[in-house]
Amino acid sequence: MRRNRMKVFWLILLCFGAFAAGCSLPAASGTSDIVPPDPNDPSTWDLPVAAAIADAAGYTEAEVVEAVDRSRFEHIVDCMQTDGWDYSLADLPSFEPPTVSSLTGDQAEYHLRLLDQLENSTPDEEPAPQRSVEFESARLKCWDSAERAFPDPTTALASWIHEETEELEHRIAQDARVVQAHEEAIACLAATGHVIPSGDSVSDEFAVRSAAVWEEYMRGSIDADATRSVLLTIAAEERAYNEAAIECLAPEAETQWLVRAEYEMEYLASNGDRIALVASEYRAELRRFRGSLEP
Amino acid sequence: MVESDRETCIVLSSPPKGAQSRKATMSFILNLPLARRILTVGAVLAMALAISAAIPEAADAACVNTGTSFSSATYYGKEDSRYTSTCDGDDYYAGRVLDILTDGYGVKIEAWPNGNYWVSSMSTGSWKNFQYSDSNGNNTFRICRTHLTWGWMTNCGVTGTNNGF
Repeated sequence: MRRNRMKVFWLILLCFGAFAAGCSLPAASGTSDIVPPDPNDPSTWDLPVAAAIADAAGYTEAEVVEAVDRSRFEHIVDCMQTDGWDYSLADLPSFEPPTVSSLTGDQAEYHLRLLDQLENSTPDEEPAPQRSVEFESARLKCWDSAERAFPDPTTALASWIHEETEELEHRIAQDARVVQAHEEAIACLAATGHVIPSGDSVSDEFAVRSAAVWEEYMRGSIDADATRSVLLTIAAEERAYNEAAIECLAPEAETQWLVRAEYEMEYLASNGDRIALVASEYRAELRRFRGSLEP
Repeated sequence: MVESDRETCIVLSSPPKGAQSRKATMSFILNLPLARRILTVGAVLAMALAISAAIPEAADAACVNTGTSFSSATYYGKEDSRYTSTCDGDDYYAGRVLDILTDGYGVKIEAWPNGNYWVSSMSTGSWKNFQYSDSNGNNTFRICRTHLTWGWMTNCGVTGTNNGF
């Protein structure tokens, strides 16, 4: 993908040159040399448009997000400590994109962890001072102050990309290769006895069932042992679904990536100047995070 | 937050700041013939309208105290509360997440209700509903992109806070 990125970069430069000279723009080069992302190499994970913006801006989206989070979190910690609260970076989420989770998010396992916590906690435990109304009020004030001090530059860029590529997304979703890959994934899962829910708005059955049994437990309708037993059953079904889904969705994931890469390369061939312009404006917005971004 | 987002978006797409450049721009427009002047001002207004239409509602919060709900977005996914009544202070949050792009990746929500790490099921093109509860109706969360089959997050958006659900 580093190779792909360099190709995208040179393509943008070429487009820019052609645009400046008033010449016609080059046609897309096709997909024969596009390769799918490598799970072990983060530099291959971005598609051409995101890679082109990152190359032109000088920073990946992940680097910018971490800089914004870091700037805001440090501001929040200072603000809370100034207000007299015992508060540190450990009270905020990690900067690292963390964790491996299943496609369904391990809904039953999550509730099993909650169950263990509740069963092992002391009854009549006093709420920690961090849960007080005064603490929450201070926390919100400090978040608001941090968001004002460090506005998120990725928001405006996301809006621009969304507007700019909406038509492209429509064409990709209707591409015959993408449609066929999705139908094959559905058939593959059906052969294992599973269904991919369809519709505009869908619920995850493992989340719904886990939440339902959890509510019963919290209401006192069933005891901890019965709750654990039901959750363990759901967790086993969830694992089985995830194993089947990983196998069946892999070809669809690769097809979607390759087709999108092809369309985005085409887009870049005729819109390199627009990407270069928005990337330079985005880069200017990153100035306030210079302390948190590596040069 | 709404105000600061608007500011960021406009700055990204407007001419250079400063009284001197504004003066130069005005003088440039006033020196044009009338028809061109109208066309130029019209084009600028159309561009401003297009920009403001692209501005999302807000960036970093699903509920800001009780009664006020916002959606959050990255270029690959967005999140929204599922009902107008979600931000009602009952410590139960019902949301939904959408994978915007057909790109081999899905989108999930990460949240820390009561300090516990929780992750939603993955959206792959349709809104995916989710819900969680906690004892004090506040947490932090972010939208993350994940490959359809790898299992780990490849990107996450900026962390936001959710309060009053």
